[in-house]
Amino acid sequence: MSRHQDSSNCNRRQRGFTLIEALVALTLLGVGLIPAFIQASNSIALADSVQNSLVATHLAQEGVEVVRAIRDDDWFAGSAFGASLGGCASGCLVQYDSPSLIPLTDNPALKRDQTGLFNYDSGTATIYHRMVTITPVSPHELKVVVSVTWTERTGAKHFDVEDHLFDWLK
Amino acid sequence: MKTDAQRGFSLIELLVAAAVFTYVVASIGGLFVTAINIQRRATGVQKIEENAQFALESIAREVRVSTVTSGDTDCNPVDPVATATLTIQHPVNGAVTYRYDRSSGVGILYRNDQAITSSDVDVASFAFCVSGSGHDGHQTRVTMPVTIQSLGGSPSTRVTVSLQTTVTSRDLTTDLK
Repeated sequence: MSRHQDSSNCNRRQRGFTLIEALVALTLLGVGLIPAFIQASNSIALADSVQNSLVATHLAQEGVEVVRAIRDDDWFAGSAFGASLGGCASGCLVQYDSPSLIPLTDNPALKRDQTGLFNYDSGTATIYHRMVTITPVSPHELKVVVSVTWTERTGAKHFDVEDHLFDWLK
Repeated sequence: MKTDAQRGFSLIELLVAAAVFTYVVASIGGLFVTAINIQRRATGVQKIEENAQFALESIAREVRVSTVTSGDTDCNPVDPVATATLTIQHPVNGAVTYRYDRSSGVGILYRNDQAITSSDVDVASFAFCVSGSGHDGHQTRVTMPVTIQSLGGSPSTRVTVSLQTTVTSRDLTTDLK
């Protein structure tokens, strides 16, 4: 009698998992792994995003500085404040060596040439587009907005810098 | 005579169990390795950002208020140029020389012979493109195209970032009539 009971206990112990148990176990495993996957893929996107933002901030700064250099060139040439900075209320382009504003036909991507320079003339297209908008605030103040836009894995991104140039030279 | 409880696993059961275990461990292990590589890349990007931001910002801050004393230069950072220099006259700090040196194999930027980028990153290419220096009726611009690479780890986890910025001098005295 006791021998029979032992044997039936053993049989029950040998039954293994039911389908439900197996499914529950797999679901739990999945619930654990999926967030880890999502986390990993988020990290990649974030690292790329940081990298792109770093480049965009410097390109935006370049835009502001080039516009300032054009204002100073006007002063050196004896021209009035903002003489070369008109016609840009709806956008224009500049590159690192621009002597004047480049009219905006469309907003092409900046290229990077053999020597590593970002420009519009030669090289392979980068992901960055840069547009400058100059609007007069008063006769003696110009608002300069440089907007760098690009598209990355998670969608379109933009970085804008606003600067104000003043007619302080007497 | 052996009872059922003592029979143990059959070879098939053992193989199936081992296969399932291997598959699960391999996929989790793969995920782990991927995560570590991503982490290394992210650290690389962070180092590049710190170094690029600090070096370019400190150069820009000084150049803005200084007179650039080195002459106009062309840009040729892709040519194997091991060194490049920029000299400026700062109203408070006096003569300052910025120097890029890659003769040791790892590119480093120096301000008056003091390193301003760490040896964690390699400034793979750099140039000072100066235009409008001297009495030429144009404001001085300094354009700095730079390529920075993170060091350490395996080549697949290294990151390379190329960027560029331009700084305009605020000094009007050189060119103003």
